[in-house]
Amino acid sequence: MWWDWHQIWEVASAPDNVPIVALLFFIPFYCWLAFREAKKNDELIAKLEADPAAAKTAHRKTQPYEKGWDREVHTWPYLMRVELLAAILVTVLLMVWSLTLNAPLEEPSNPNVTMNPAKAPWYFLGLQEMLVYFDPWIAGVVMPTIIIVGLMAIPYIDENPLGNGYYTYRQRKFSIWTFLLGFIGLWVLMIVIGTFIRGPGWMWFWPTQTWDASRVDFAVNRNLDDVLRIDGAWMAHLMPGSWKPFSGLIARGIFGIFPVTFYFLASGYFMNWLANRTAFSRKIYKRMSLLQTVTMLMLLALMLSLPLKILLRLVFRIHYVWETPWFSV
Amino acid sequence: MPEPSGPDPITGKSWSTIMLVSTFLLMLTVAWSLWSEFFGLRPWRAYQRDFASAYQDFLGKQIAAQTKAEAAVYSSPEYKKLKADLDAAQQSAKPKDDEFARRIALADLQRTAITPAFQSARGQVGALIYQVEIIPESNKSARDSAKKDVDGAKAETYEVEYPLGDGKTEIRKMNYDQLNAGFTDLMALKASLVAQQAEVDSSVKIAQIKLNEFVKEKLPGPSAAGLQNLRNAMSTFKIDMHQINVNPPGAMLNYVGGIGLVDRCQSCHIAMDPLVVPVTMTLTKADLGRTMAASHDAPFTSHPDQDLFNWHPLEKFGCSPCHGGNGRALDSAERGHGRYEHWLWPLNYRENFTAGCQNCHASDMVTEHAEVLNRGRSLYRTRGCIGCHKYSGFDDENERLTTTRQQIMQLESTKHDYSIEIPRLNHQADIAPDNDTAHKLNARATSLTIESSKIDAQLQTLESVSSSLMRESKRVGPDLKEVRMKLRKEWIPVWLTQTHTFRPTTKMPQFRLEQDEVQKIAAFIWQQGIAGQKLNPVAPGNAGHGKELVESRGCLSCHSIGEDSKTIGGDFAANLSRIGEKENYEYLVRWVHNPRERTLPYCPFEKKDITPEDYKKHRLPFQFDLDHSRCPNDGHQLEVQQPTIMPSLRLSDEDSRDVATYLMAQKHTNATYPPAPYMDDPKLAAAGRALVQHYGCAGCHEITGLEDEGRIGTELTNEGSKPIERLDFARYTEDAKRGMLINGKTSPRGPWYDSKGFFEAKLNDPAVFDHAKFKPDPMDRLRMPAPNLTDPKTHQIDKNDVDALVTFLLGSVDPQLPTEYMYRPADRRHAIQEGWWIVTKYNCIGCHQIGIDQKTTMQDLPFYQAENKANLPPVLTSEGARVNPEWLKRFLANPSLSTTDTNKNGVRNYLQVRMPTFSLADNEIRKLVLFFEALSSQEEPYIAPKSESLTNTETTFARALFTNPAAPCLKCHATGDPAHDKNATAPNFTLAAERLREPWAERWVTDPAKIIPGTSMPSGLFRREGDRWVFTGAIPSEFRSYAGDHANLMVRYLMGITPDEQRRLQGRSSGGGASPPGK
Amino acid sequence: MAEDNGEQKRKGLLGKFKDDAEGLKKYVSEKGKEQLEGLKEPEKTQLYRSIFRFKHDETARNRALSVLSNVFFHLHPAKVNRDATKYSYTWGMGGITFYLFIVLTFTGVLLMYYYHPSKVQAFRDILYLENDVPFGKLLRNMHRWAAHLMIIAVWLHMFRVFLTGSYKKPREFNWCVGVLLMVLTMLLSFTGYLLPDDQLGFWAVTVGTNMARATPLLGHEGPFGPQLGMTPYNDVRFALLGGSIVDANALLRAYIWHCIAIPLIASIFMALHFWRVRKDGGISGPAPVMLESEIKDEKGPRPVIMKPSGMQ
Repeated sequence: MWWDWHQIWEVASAPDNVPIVALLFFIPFYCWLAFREAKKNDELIAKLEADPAAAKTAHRKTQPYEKGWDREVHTWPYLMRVELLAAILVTVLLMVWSLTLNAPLEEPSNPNVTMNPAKAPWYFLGLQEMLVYFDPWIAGVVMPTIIIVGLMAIPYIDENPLGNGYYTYRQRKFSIWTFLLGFIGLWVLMIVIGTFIRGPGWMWFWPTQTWDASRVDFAVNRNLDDVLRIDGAWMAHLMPGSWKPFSGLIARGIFGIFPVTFYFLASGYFMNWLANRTAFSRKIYKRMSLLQTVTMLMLLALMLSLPLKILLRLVFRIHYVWETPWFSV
Repeated sequence: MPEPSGPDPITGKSWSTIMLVSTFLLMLTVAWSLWSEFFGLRPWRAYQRDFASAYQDFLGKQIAAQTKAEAAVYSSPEYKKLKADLDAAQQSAKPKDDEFARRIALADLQRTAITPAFQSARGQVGALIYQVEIIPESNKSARDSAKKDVDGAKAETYEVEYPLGDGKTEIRKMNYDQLNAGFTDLMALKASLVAQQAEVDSSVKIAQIKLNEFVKEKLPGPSAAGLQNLRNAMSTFKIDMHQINVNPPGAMLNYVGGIGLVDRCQSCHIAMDPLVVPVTMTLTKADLGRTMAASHDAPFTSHPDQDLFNWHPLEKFGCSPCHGGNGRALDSAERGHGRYEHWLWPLNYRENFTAGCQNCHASDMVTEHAEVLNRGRSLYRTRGCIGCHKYSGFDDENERLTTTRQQIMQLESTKHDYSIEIPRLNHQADIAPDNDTAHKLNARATSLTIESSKIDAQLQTLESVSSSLMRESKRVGPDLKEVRMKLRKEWIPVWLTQTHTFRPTTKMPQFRLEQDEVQKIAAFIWQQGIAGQKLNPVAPGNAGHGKELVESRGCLSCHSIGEDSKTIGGDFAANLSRIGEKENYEYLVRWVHNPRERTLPYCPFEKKDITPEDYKKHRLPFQFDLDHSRCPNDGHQLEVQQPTIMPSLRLSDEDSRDVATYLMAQKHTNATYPPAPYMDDPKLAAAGRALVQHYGCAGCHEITGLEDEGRIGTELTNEGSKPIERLDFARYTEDAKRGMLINGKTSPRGPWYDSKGFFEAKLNDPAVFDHAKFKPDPMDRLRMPAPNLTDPKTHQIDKNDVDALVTFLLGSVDPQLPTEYMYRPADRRHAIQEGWWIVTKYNCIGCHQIGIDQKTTMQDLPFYQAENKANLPPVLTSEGARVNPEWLKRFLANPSLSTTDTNKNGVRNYLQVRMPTFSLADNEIRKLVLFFEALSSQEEPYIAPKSESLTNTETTFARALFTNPAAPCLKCHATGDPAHDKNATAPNFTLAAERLREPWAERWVTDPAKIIPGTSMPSGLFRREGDRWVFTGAIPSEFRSYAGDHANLMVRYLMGITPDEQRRLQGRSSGGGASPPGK
Repeated sequence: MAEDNGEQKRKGLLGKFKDDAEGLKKYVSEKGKEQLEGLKEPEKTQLYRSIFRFKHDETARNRALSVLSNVFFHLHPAKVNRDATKYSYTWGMGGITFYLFIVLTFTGVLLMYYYHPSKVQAFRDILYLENDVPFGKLLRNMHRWAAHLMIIAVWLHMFRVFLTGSYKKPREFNWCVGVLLMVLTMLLSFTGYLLPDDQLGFWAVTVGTNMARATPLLGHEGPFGPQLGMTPYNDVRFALLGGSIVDANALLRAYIWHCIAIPLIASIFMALHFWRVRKDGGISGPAPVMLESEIKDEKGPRPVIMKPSGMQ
């Protein structure tokens, strides 16, 4: 059933989904706020770069400043009052929210009655959505680890000394785009999909489409080797008899290595190209030590592999690119 | 350095305004939270306020009315008289009373007078005695001197001012012993005086009680004063939460929603609190006069069935265990009633209230005060739901039979093994190398021999068990093995397609069958029937007489006849109009003569019908009945009866013919049946078999080759607590969740995505959840047929039936309450519980009144109106007290009480209606007898009282009374002499001895109307004279002196009366035509 | 004369009393006036000064001192960059996160008074909270929504810090601490999810922990897990749940993680986080913009691992 507004309302108004709805408003607002600031700064930077003379004397901030105003102000009251105000307003918001909306409480837990869909807490829905595209060990374990490690690694691989302590776009295009892709594109968006798009049976329901629990989908997802008809038949000839039965397995196992390595090489090359496009980026790139470069390329490659795999899955219906008896990618 | 152009935007700006505003906002939210806590979440406060005022107005009116009524009563002569009696009693009692009062007072005075002296004396003596005891025996001298001291103390006298009454006193000198004696005497004296005083007052008390009873009877409900108190209470009514808090031991996690039991329902349903509206009062919407908002008026009515609180005290049961709902929540009606997603125990809707009873009364067939539930239960049983859906406790004879048979087979195989083992052992023993081994082997063989003999014993019991179970187990539908003899071939396919049009009241559900399916099934049914058994032709009988029999003999207590508005009779069994179109006359004759008669017996072990050939093989006569029920091939118990409820009415062959002829005339003459040649196509039959299995026909019918088919439906014992996820609403899931009905309308009660909604939809149209589904293969479709719940008058599905069944299913939940709440009585009530299952199974209540205010089908039949009322079957309300259980057993086994002449009633031969032979299993008979005894709370086992035999004088006197023109017993009572019995209307006395219980008989002769209102037996034959009954008619002079109890004498005489005694006396009394007194 | 004497004596005695009374009256009135005068400026009273070491007036010194001398305030420096008070830069998300943490601790402690982490009672207790405990419903709602809000705040905080490049020298380490704090926050929320022991929590946690089955090497469904002898009864998931299914033990563990372990760890990291904010030179900006031309290119050999963060 299409144009089922009741369905949208049902999902959006579910108490536990309210935060995500809020997120939908918060993120754009703060992006706008940030980029407004960035724009101002970038214009200032442009101006100063235009005449170095002025750069010597300029205040170098978009915030207004005149001689005679003190450069530092007392924490008390000028900072404290901001904090106090924030505290009050947050309290108000929280109270109103709590008075109007009840925390959900469902039936007593019952292992025999499975919820459909059984969803993780909303802030982990990104990972649950990943389960569609990757095996649990990647989506549930490897990926979170890489995300954490990757985040922690950022300061140590970002060699760009500019844009430290002020909003700017033109001085940090690369890093900002990367982060937006990761945070908004791969984290928030996945959560939104997991909440509003994924219905019973974790099936894909477009907005205004009724979540029909009895819906049945059919899709063949084939492995890359299967698509390319890698069955190890020719390999069987080269192998001792006792191995022959496994020839297919072995062939696929070996085959899988190629696309994976290829991807990493290709993406590495692509990044490299990307990093060398402008003179500025070349400059920054040169500053980086080998380890930094490798780590960065590695992480970026992994990050890009997400959308790529999603594409392969949703468009080309590819299940695994590399299948082995122990793990599959 | 230039001055700044303006003030610093940061340090220069004051934030007081925004701070103030936000602080104000904070205050507001805090205020809001307070409001919501104390008012927002407490809607019941408003209810209570409204109720208090409405209730006060109501009470005001009541008080006025009540005062008037009381005035009327107090001025009534009866009251005055009783009051006068009371005063008189008090007057007469007064002097004695006062005298006693005076003496009691004096006794008290005297005791108080001597008490101080007595206490000090006792104290002193006690101390000295102790002094003695602590001196060792050895020290004799010291002991003696100490003893002297004791004696001295005892001798010492005290001066007591002893009152003598009227203020006079005298000084008495009393020593220890005197004081002691005096004290105890005075105590005893007072006790006796008090007792005597009570004796004096007793007359007053009695008078008082009489008065109170009178007032109570004339002025039910609370008195005006009581009401006034209530009203005063309400004027200072404190608005507060009313809650019941019970935490029974062993309460399960999900006991009433998982938190012990706290029910605050009365906070809104305030009128259900007995402290607010006393149990003696009932409060309806109308009473409160003002019409309130719909949300308001419901809570203000008192509980519609206050009696229930007598057995279900609120403080033990609360509300939600019976009604469901979230007893804790008070913040909104929706939440309190638990009618929101995620609450597993929602409040039952009004039409399903009694579902709650089933929680604890699951083992009842009939539960008082729960009509809807009872109806549901019996529908479930009689409409054949049970044929497909197992329900624990319901008609499980078949299951029990199977297990018994398995046990039998197992035992037999063991026995067989032994029979091989034993000779082997013996043989080995013979060839054993040495004696020990030989001994061992022999010993082993012997023990095995003994074992197998033990097994024989077990087998015997099991066989008898299975035979009685076979008697008990019935099928909802007729035996289809005899279709070829019974039915008209062409009729079968028609019936399968138009079940409910052909017979609108049939129990058989309507299956949804494709045309080819019908042909296949019909073909199979026809071909599986026993072939080659021809019934010899019978001449037609007298339809007129047949009609008479059908109407009088009692057929119509179960069967109905006539169509639409002209229908008469009961709905327990089939409607007989149009029976002529389908039946075969010869078969019908046999059936009417004895419905239990079978063409071939069935052997459950060989799983085949036993034919005459089998008997011939074993040189046995082809004879099988309840006494010849062993299989000629393997000696096992055979199925020798039709598994039908219908009993034998013991009609003579002629009568059977007449009835059959009459019934054959019941038909639509214009009805035509297309020829059905395909019925004999074996290929179709083969396909049909699969279908018959698929649709579970064998659940209700006996079918060749499918005798042991199990039930095909889901078990429904705990259907009510099945998680909603497991009930498949198919394409209607979303509609149900959003309150959209299948017909596109919006559901009046909103979303119906719950068990109730599912059951209702399913019962109204079992195929409903197939709608909009794509199932080309019929075998994939939902196979549940449409139960016949159509009301023959309106031709609509009877909502009450649906509600009843839904109620029953909703109540069928896995137990949530602690076990001690379950109704599993061990005493008489258990016997009653068990009895109802049989009573309803055989529809005894179609003819007999058993419950106090229960109606029977028969009493509404046109034939049994007016003067024929007297010819209705006996009322059994006090049967247990009336008859001797041993006799009752015999009677139930064979109601004709005769082996030779069975075409009659054993007891009331004069009645046209016939007590049929049900050939009940011993087990059932036992239960029934216990049931009747329990109903009239008789002790079990029954020991007949020993009554002393009559002296000659007594005998003659008794005869005189017996034949007294004032009470010509034999005028009505049968004697066994056909000439006389033509117009007899009461049982034969010769039965009394073994049949009746003496105490009952005595109560009966003295006042029969009291036991069975409206009986034709005259009351007032005896009158009470002191402590004995005396005959009211003229008593022959020579017996005036007789001091004994006449009634008792009479009964004792009757208990010993013999047929020829009767014959002799009959001659004497026949002259006396005078109608007895009291008539 | 004798009577004279007596006269005098009596008089003298009386007069003495009179004089004393006069004196007392004067004394009380004077002292009283003095007292009232003193009360006119309460900040001068001993009581006040014992609590607040410094006068609350607008001198720079006192403003500074009132921050420095206050255990709660002295997380802050006495003075801050004038523009750091601008919401448009900071978004205040860090502060809000911390405030929400306090709110959660407060409501959480209150909730603990009513909650038993046992299969039999957990669900009952929630119903009890909802229907019986005064303000219980509000309490529970606030706790839950504050938790959600905190997660959002944390994310936005990180977002802001990234966009302002505040993780750069010299704040690299504090960023790492921040990342860990974010993870802890999510774990806090996740462990709390199970506690009501209702279907929602139960299945959410089941789904969540099922991922642990697939841990490489350590999960019985993960790569090389079975080869290393991992079964449902000894793998990492078992360790998390204290059993092979989400049951009583899991409930208890979740409870302890939620109420004791993680808050403890989190507060330690928070202390570290705040302390480092100060030590790394206070809040990062708004700093004066830097120009590309001003990047100084490092000379000298490349270090093996990474360059020492060139803190001047």
